Amino acid sequence: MTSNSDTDRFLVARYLKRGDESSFRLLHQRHSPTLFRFALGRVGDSAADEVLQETWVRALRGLSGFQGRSSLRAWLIAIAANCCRELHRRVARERVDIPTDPPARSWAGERLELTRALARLPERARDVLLLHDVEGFTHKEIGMALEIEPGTSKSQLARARRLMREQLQSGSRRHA
Amino acid sequence: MHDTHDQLDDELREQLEQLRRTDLPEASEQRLFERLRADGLLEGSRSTFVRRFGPLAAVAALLLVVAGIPWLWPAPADGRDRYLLLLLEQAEAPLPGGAALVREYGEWAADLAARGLLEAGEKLALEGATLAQGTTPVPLATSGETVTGFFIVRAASADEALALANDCPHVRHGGRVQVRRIEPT
Repeated sequence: MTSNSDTDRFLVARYLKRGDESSFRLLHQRHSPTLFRFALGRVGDSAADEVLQETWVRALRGLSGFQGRSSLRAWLIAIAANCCRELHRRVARERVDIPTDPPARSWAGERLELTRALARLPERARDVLLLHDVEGFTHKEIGMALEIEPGTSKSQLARARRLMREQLQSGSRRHA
Repeated sequence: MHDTHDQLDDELREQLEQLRRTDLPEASEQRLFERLRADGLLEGSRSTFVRRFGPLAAVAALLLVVAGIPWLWPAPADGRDRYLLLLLEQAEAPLPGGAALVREYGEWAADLAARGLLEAGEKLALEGATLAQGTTPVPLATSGETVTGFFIVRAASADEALALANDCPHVRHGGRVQVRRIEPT
């Protein structure tokens, strides 16, 4: 069975050779949901789609420089993280009226307690929790994506899980 | 002592699993592709041909594939034949759509592509027409079995082509797949 990274490498090579939509469409289907969910965690509902678009524009422009040192998805998340940071700076600098704070209503449907608990996490802890426990990234991939050491990723994950559990338990007690 | 609160227990895992069901917003894909085309980051493809020339283009694209114009489709160099997989479903009761199903098709196709077995694949619009010499085009029927897409795959034998087709999500979700060998010219 072909590995996910083999498939990505094949599609990237074919896109670089032909620039065709069919290759990109498969890359989009494989990675956009992950990118969108990551952006929801950083910038909320209103801006997550904008971040997704900007991420792909930058990714396709820079794809010839992608050397495969990290997985493609880790590389894409790094680009998305930069886009989110720039959006926050632009909002602060220009006082643009784009709500960029989570919680994202599109997260988790009606599960408001889960959404609120995630929103209360420190940003780094939330990133690591989402990438590891929701998207299945390894700590090495998270390290490449967020420019942190794998050891830091592990400790942030432990912290995030502990905080999530505390938040969800206190939420349950409030509604009991 | 190992702190169990750091672990991912079943309850937290189940809660987080719900986040994976978050879909892209409506029209997100359309906006993305329009922007990438406008920025010159996506070249034209058969999809562009279909969009630009309207419903008849879908029929024309299929006819081109079936005619097997040699200069469009170079003969395979590894002894494998090319097979056309026609995706069939009932026009009045189409398969349910949705982002999850599109992802399934995409992942199946990506796996074939990575193995060097996929040459092409497109979804076809339901509207179209049939024409013959001396007649005006007849719109496709809105009931009965209709072709809703196709894949061109490479296989070492008819049995292998059937096995590939059998793995296609289209079959799993209630559609039918017709498998036809493309005669080399």
